[in-house]
Amino acid sequence: MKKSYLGKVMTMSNKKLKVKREKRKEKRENLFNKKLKVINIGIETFAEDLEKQGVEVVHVDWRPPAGGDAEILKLLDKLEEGS
Amino acid sequence: MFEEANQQAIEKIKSAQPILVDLKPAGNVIPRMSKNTILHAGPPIKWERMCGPLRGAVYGALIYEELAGSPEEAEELIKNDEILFAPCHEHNSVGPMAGVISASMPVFVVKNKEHGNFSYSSMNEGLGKVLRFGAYSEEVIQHLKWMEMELGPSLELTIKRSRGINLKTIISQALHMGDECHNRNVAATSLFEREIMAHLIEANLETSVASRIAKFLAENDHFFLNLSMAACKAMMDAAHSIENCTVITAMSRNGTEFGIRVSGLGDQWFTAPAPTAKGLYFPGYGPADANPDLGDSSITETRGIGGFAMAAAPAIVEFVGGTPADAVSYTKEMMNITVSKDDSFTIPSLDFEGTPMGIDVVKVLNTGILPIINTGIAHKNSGRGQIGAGIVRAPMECFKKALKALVEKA
Amino acid sequence: MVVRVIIRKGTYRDSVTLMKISNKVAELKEVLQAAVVMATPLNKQLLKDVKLLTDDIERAGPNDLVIALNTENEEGMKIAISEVDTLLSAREYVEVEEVRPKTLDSALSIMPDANLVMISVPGNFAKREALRALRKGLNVFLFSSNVPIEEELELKKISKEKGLLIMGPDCGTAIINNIVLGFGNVVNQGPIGVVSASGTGLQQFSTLIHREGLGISQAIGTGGNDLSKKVGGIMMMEGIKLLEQDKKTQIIVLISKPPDVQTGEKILKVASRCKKPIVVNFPGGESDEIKKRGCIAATTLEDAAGIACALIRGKKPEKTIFTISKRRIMSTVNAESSKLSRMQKYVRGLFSGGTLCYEALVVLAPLIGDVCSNVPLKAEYKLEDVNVSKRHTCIDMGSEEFTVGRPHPMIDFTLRKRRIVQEAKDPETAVVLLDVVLGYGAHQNPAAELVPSIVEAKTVAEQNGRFLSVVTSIVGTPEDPQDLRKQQRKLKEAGVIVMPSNAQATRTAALIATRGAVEEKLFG
Repeated sequence: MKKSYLGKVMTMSNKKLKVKREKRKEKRENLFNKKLKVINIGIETFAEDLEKQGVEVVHVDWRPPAGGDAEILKLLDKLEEGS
Repeated sequence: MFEEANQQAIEKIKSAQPILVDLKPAGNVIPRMSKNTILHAGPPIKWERMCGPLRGAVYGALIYEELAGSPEEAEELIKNDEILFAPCHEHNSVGPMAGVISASMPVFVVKNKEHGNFSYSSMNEGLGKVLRFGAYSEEVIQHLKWMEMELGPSLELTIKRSRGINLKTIISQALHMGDECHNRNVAATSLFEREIMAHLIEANLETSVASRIAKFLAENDHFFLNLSMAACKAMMDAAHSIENCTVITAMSRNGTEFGIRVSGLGDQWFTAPAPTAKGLYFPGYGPADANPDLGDSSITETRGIGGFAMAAAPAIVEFVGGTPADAVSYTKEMMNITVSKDDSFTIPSLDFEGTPMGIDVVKVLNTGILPIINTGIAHKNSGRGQIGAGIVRAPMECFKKALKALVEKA
Repeated sequence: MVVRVIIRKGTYRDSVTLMKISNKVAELKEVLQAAVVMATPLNKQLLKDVKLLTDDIERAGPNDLVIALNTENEEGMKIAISEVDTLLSAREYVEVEEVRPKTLDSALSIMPDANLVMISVPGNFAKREALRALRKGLNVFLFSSNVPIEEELELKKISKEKGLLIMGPDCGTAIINNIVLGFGNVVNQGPIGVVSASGTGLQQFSTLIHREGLGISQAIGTGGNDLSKKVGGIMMMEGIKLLEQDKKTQIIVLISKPPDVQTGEKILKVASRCKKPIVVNFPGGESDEIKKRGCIAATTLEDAAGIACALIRGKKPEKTIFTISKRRIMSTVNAESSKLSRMQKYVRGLFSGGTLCYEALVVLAPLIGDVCSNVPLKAEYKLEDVNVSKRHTCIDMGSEEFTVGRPHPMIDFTLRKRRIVQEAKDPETAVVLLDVVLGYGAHQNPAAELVPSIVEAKTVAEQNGRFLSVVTSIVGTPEDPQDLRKQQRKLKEAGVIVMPSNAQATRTAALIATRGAVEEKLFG
């Protein structure tokens, strides 16, 4: 009785693992075979160089969050973690 | 946790339907309003800290209510603790500039037909020497009396006959006609007047009365401002008090302090010193004459119009020497700090993209981008009136305080 | 005081435009008061308040423009009126500025189908941004350095869980779908896949592949700390798996400084299970371990390139010492070393690429012994003062001590130029060994920057009865934004010996400094 029960559980989890692996494969393969569409955060010349190579890129005009206030940054992280 | 609550807030704001249903004396309709209550714009403030224009407006209101015969008598009353000061916001109301509402003043009654909540605001007095800038001369009092005795009842009849005027549709249309419904209200005012015209005539007023009213309405480009504010208040109140919601439901100033309220944090105000607007001054005036930011009118920006819809009213941005392209930038900049975009309030020059909607405390802090407000600039002495117009940003301090409260609660 | 009022009937401008004009005119130093308004009742009251109301204005109507000016003198009045007219007739030039998003979220609303986020914000903010991107299901190229190792581990764990790629932190180079990310050279697409923990290492490797006529399928950067003990090579292992699945990749090449022992074992284990051939370039590392696991070990980047190409072409992999004939090499070496004075005997390497410096140390060790450095192979050879070379020295000028508060030496040549001249002044310096890296992100004209200092250095040596030899390699392809041919020419014209690879340049420097004494060690 126990043996067959165990056997069932094993096949179930193998299936789940397989599905998980397949899904992961899907996501990664997408980067290799599709057109690169890039969001650039930080140094602007990186976005320019991508444009020169014909890549669609959106540059984000990034500023330190909370105007650089370290205390506020900590609180923001705390809040986000809580959620 | 916040995402869900914020989405709920967005749904409420979107579905709210602010309808102008009545016009009545403030004491009759505004909740918890007594003969001795003076409502004012902005967060709570004690008499000692009130700025010039607000004090002047308080004198004017007490004289108008015949509780005092002079500023000196008014001060006596106040010193004896006989007057109850409270923010308009805490009584479902809003008022521009000093925003003073007293019991006898007729107020617009706006009902959010979707969720059932009400909001109230005074009628706009017009330009020149007026109470909201702290003037309290005989002229001002007489004008207020006229509004109480003649304008009020007549418009009450008119509004009743109309069976309700949808303020949201007017705002939507006005945004397509060059208004942003805070500093630019001429299209909305015209649309409103067109809508009530037939009812006004059918109200069968005496010709001289009707004539005075028509003239008054025609000369006041900003008549719709107070209605715009009440509509925005009704829409934002519908989204207030949602657990875990980080959307701002009020931004307001009393000329000394700037305050915000957050949906998930109840009735707490988060305040900081009120900034002074940067802008253009009327001939003869300059920054040294300016009063710090004043008024509940930033409820419009809270809702996502006014300064947030500057791209709909490019002329406004010239207030600070900017170009029409800057107006577009400001609106787009605000999209970084809101939860969503509206679908009823859209901007033609942005391909009818919706206005930014639902200011998120967390996004403001994450990006360091502060909400932008278009505003009139009052003279710091009471009664001198408007001396210019400009742009001001909500202070970072308010959002930092709100964040601390959110973290404590979490 | 001069007061003038001008009324222009039927001239309308809106109140905001007029307010702007009034304010501008009032700013002129000659002007005491300025009011440019329409004659509405309200404005008339305003003018009355500031004592500018005249009868003419009283008579004017809301469609009439009033210009009321109060200036110090007649001259000032002329200027003021002229200014008013200019402003009244000016048309706004509307420049539609591109409005840029300020957050990832806003960027996503503009480009909802983005699949990669490139992040180069300061290191203490990097984790937040990277985490956001990963949570949105996006792959990440993380250029930012100085990210705490715990944060790197956290990011890589999450990324692996989600089946996403995170290249970095501290990843300067990658080539995905034949697109250069960050720094990097333009190379052909082809069957060779790479997973690299080194930026310039990847650049040297890929440019050599390109020169051989083959190409890169994908070059995944893992960042400099991936193979540390704490991180344990997470991304390198993910990279191997990815390339194994990639139909376009026939061979996989791994590039890194020798990893932590345990990490190295883990990686080689994964590599041994891989169905595709794996070439491993962990210079100075244990090649026996590599061979045991069924992979092919390469001591230099050039060897790795040579082996990879040989495998693709079904040829026998061979080690490269020089790609130029021994005769020509020795001829060049003799020409240079014969000019050296007796005292000159040391090699001084000044590198912009960390891995190239490291490779030089590895190549030089068996030839001229241990070399001092700021990043030495052996701890006892660490320089006391990184600004002063001792005996044979190779410096990684991209290392932290040189780059705090400055741009990287691949972009800013200031420190290197100074150091070249400094080495020339040391009477024991025989050869200055350099690297010149081209490609995206690098300086647009390195030769123009370096040549004046090289000339100065050689002159200093000459004036003191010595000869300074300068040897370099150029990491680049003809397809790069810089003009490779021109760079070669300019350097050669300045008397620099330009070799085809970093390894060959290093060997040449050793030969010159020892006046050919290591010829036997090299050629056998």
